[in-house]
Amino acid sequence: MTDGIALLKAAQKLDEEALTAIFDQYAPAIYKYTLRLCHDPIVADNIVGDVFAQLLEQFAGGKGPRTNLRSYLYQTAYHLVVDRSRDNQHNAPLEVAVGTYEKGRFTPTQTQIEERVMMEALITAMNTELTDDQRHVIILRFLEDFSLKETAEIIGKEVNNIKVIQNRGIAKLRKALGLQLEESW
Amino acid sequence: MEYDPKDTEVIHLLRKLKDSNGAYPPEMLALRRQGYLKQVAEVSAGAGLAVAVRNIAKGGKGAAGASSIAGTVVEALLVVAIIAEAGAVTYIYRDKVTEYFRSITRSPEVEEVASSPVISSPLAEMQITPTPVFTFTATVTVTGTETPTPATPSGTPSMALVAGTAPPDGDTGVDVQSSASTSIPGSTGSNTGGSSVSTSDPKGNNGNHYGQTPKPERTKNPGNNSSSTQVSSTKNKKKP
Repeated sequence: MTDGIALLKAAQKLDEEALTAIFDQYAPAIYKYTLRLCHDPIVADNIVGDVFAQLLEQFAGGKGPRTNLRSYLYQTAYHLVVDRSRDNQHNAPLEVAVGTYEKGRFTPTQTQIEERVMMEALITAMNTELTDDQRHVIILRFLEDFSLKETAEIIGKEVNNIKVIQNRGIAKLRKALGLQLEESW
Repeated sequence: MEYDPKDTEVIHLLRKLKDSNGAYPPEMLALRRQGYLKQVAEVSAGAGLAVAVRNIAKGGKGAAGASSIAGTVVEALLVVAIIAEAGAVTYIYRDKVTEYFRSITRSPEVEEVASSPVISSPLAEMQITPTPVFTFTATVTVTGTETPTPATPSGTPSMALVAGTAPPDGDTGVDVQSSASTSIPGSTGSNTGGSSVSTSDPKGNNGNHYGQTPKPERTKNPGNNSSSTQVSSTKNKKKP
């Protein structure tokens, strides 16, 4: 934590090493988060570039985050994704989001096949059943490991509101997974 | 945070999804990092320049102290160069400069003519025409029985220019007479009688009065019986 604060203070003074360290530390995570939201690697890459360009502008203007740099970067990425999704409704194929399950590498076991089916059903449900807020909260809470407070800061809502959104999102996913699994079996 | 047991399976799946690959492709990440470092260098250079300007504004010394002497020398050289260039330009265009200063100091050649002030008068519309008016002053003599209703005098005094022949006693001939006419009820305004002022006696001097031009005396030679008028008259005579 103290390292994070020291890094942030050095970055505010436009120290090149500190700024480079921040990029190396957070760029892959921001890319992953953005890719989960927009499902397009090129868009995700562009958003990463915009996030760090905005961070530089803020530091050069004597502004920017004072305490929680990680939340600030995710918040910027979230707003950029929302802005882009308003301009262009675009969904990439599911394989991009799933990512891990590369085909043809090895022969999957029965358990792995079941797990893969479950994961695809989950991703489909996340993309089709959830609202934008519910999807963002679920991703931030369970895929990016943000606390309720941090998630509330990033989304710009109250903590209690985030709790409600999260519970409703999980309930929708459970229902969708149950239906999909019933259909598939 | 405690979750509903029904949701445990969903949350477990979500945790697994977290470990899924979604890594930044290395080539893409390298390009993005390169661009970012370029931006950082620009911002840092700008910030360094801003800091240097701030130090100069504060009058700080140190690293800039050594260069301040060189800066003073360059500044002096620049001032000398500017003065020399201004002198050369003035010498080359001295005629135009002289003409310019003359045109500034010279008084304007075109005189301004101010129009005479127009005095507005309430009688501006009243125009007096010097037309001579011959007036006859009539003296009305009323004879007869007295009437119980006396005539009420009405009318306004009027000014009249009277032009007449100059009296021999040196008068100018133009008299301004003020007369108050009294209208008589029932009368048509015509003169019923009266005396008129006649021209004074010329006392033998005919002057150039019309009809009183002295006739030239005839001078006829005793032997000359023909005249031009007689010839022409004989020519125009019709034969019977």
